[in-house]
Amino acid sequence: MLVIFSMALSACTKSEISIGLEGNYIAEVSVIKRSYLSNEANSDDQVHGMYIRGDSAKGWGSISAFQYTRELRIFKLQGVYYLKQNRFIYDSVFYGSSHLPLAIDHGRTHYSSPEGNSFNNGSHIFKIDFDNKTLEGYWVIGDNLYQGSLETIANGIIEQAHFKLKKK
Amino acid sequence: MRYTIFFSALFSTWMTFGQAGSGLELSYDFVPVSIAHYDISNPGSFENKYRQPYNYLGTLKRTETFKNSTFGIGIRGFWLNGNEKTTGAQLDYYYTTKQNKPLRVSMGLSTLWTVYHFKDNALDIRIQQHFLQVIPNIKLVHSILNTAWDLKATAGIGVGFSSSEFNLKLYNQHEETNFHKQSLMSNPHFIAGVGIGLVRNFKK
Repeated sequence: MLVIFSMALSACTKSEISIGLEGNYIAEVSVIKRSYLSNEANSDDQVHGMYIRGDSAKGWGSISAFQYTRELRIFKLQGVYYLKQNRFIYDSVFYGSSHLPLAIDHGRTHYSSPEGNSFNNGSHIFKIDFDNKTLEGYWVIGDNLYQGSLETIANGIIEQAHFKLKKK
Repeated sequence: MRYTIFFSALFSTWMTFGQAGSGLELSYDFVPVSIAHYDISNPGSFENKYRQPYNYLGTLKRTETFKNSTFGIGIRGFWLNGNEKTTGAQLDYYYTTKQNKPLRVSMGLSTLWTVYHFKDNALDIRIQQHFLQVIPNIKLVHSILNTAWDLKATAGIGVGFSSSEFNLKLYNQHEETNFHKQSLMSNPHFIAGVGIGLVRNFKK
């Protein structure tokens, strides 16, 4: 009987069995770079298929000042892991939420929106990658600085950051 | 913990059923059904896929035999996975058409019912699905010599039904928005299934 039960268990695909990522997390974030969008001629770097200029955005101070936390939630539905993040600006103004399908392979979890700007019906840029064991990784976020505008990030900034997830 | 509960239920059930012509089966039935598969990163989009109900582990079934007829009732076990919770039941009837020890051939009908829930208030997502599968089956039972144990295998072709409902509460709304609804009888479809199992017989 144990054999049959083991067969039944092994018949379930890997994606159906919990691998322990589900839950609520606080991301301790260390911002590596914040930059304005630019054009190719004036750019000094390229991130996620977009040209950027400057190591920090105006009015944001030094890089060391860019320490903050963000709440994330990882859950699984019909064999697919999703990341939910409620997005706020200025710490309190709701800025939209998203359910992003995560890919999990080779011990890492990742998601990437298409590269470039003005894509995907105006969705914002987001790329995340972290190690499933250490829960450390990095993300790239593209945000529009204009509150209430959920169009492209033409007037926005690009943030590259390192983070460590801590379960709540 | 889940394994402990499963095996405790198995053991206690076993001790209860020391009756004439009865048996206890542990089986794994592979019976894919049409399941509405949602992409919640794009609310409203879905596709129906044939697949085994999510997180199925196996079926524990009690059987009762009267002459050539065998009735079975069982529970379908599922892995309780976070916000996903599934339960199910199975009802069988088989009639033995041929018996040459140690082999027994039966024809019958299996009815499988499964209900799937996804719910988490913090996520504002609610999904409920029901699956009904009716399968005429052929069953082969092979006795293991000098023991009370049998091996069994089943195969059949039948009809499946599935309902589905997907609701999402948007951040600026108090009420849920329904993005998809499908009634149970709206999409009957052909299904095929196979199963294997181990049977413990109890005699007077």
